[in-house]
This record gives sequence, C-alpha cells and structure tokens, in this order.
Amino acid sequence: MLKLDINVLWSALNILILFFLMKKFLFKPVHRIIEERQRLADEAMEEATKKAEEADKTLQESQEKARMMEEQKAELLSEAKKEAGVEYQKIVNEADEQAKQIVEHAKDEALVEKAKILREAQEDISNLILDAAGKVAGLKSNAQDHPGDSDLFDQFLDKAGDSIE
Amino acid sequence: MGNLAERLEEELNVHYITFHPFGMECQVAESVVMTWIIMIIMVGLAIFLTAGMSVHHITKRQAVAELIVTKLEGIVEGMIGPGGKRYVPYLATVLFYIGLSNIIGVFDLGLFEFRLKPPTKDLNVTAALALMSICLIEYAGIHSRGAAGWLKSFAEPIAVIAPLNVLEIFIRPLSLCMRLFGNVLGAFTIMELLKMACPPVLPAAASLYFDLFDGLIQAYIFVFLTSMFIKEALIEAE
Repeated sequence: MLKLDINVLWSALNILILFFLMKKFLFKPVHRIIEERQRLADEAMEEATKKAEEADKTLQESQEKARMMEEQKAELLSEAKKEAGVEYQKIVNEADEQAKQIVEHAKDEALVEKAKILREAQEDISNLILDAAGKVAGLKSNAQDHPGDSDLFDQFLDKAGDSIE
Repeated sequence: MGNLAERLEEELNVHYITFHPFGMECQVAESVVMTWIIMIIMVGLAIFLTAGMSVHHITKRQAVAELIVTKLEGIVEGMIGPGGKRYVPYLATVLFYIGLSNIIGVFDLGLFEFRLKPPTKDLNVTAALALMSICLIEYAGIHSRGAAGWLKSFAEPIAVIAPLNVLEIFIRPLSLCMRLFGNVLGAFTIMELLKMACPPVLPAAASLYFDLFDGLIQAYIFVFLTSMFIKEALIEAE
C-alpha cells in the first residue's frame, strides 16, 4: 500500500503529458478566442471613441463657424448702418442746402420784385405828383411871383421818396 | 469477518497490469492506467468542446469550454494572485485532474471489466503530483529572483531558521502527498466497507460526502497549497 516505485515516474510523465495536451487542446484555443474577442471589443471601443471625438470636433467647428458668421453679419450690418447714416446725412444736408438755396432765391426774387414794384410805385407817384404839380403850375401861370414853389415841390418829392424807400 | 478483511485488503492493494509491448513484459500500476483513462476523458472533452470555435456566434459547446477554462483559471488566479499568471494553466490542469480522479469512483457502474478506482489512492500518483508541485514552487522562486536570490531566501527572515527552510523543501511535498493520499484512501476504504456491509442506499448517500465533497475539497486544497507556496516564493521576490 505504502510503496513507491517506478510508477511515480510514470505518473509524473502522465501528468506532464496531460498538462501539455490540455494546454494545446483547451487552454490555448480558448485563450486565443477570448483574446481575439477582447481585441475586437477594444477595437470597436476605440473606433467609437474616435468617432465621438470627431463628432465633437465637427460640432465645435461648425459652432465656431456659426459664431464667426454671426460676427460678420453684425459687422456688415453696423457698417451698412454707418454708411446709411452718412448717406442719410448727406441727403439731408443736400436737401437743406437746396432748401436754403430755394429760400435764398425766393428772397432775392422777392426783393427784386419789391424793388421793381417800389420803383414803379415811385414812378407812378412822381408822375402823379408831377401831374398834380403841373396842374397847380398851370393854375398859377403867374408863378413868377412865387418862384419858391418849384423848390418846395422838389423838396416834397425828395422827402416822399425817402420815406417810401 | 476475516473474509471482509481479506476482501478489503484485496481492494486496497495496488494492482499491476502487465502489458507486452514489442514482446517485452511491462508491469504498470493500475493507477497509471486509470490516469490514462482520465487523460483520454479530459483531452477528448477538450477536443470535443473546442472543435469549431469562433469569435462570434459561439456554440453551446464553446460556451462550456470557455466557462470551464475561465472558472478553473479564475479559481487558481484568485489563489495565486496576479504575479503567477504563467503557472495558472498547469495548476488548473492539476485541479481538473485531481478533481476528476477523486470522483471517478462515482462513475464505477460496472460497465468495464476493471473497476474505476481513483488513481489518487495510489501513493505513487500523489507523490508524483507533490514532487512536481515542489519543483514548480522552487522553480518559481528561482525564476522570479534568480539563483542567488533564491538561495538567499532560505535565510529569511533570519539566518537561524535556514535549516528549517531547507527542511520545508521536503516537508511541503510530503504533506501535500500524504494529505491527498490519506484522504482519498480513507474515503475509498470507508466506501468499500460500506459497500460490503450495507450494499443498498447507504453507499450512495455516503458517496455524496466521501467521493464528491471530500474529493473535490482535496483537489482544491492541493492546488490551493501549491498556489500559496508559489505565491509566497513570488511575493518574497518583490
């Protein structure tokens, strides 16, 4: 029962052979499959991470673009506003200018007209007065007796003219 | 009663089977032949389960193969730690082998001309296993810390106990060998006695404990202790 013999060697040999056979037929193939699966899973994971990162980047880029376009828009808008303001000012100024010119012109014309009217009126009045004076002179043919009368008329006319002007 | 003792002794004795390969007479212990049978079962099972394996869409056979491998290695890895990965396949094989050896008696249904006896009830087998374990333990020590470091490790933690450490080289395999042998032989003897004393029912119930439970526990303990010793040899190196 308690006997050790050459069978220790056979048993050890058996166990070694069994170990190598099990390694070859069970552990190695299963490990290969599990590692392969792990590798595939890792790859898929990596791929997914990469894709997510890319998507993030694209999103940021497009957001950046949108922001830049917004800025450009605002810039363009403010520029246009500024230009429009300048244009507006110019137009208003021009219109002012024109209006002033028109008023000036009208004033000038009015003055000319006024002067013309005045002159005509003066002429009319002096004619009237001359007529009246002629008549008065006619009535007083003997005006030699009163030579101061003609001077008096002239004086009167001068005064009247001054006051009208 | 004397008859019973004779029959028991007959069962307990190691029988030899004689082969005549190439005209030579060759005597082999029945435990060695039993180991061949167990080897055929294990390798056949491995080949059957791993046939046509694929990465995706695995078959049930492949699932079983993967389950066996991951569970066995999980048990051993849990005992030996992450540093001893390279020793896991051997220990897993030994765990499987001893486990199957110890419970092989349960399958002794009289289908064959010979009886299916656990090979681990033969001292030669457990001695071989223990010798290989101690070789592996010392190899792990040399491999992880170099020959000089391995020699120095006998003087740890203090030089005075170096003789005890050297003695351990012999004590460890002896205890491993005797524990397994004694348990299996004891269980086998009790089962034989029960079968002789009370053939119906009782042996079946007792077999649950002596064959299945004790057998698997002893397989676990053997591998657990070997793993512990290897782990120790590795940890000291760090």
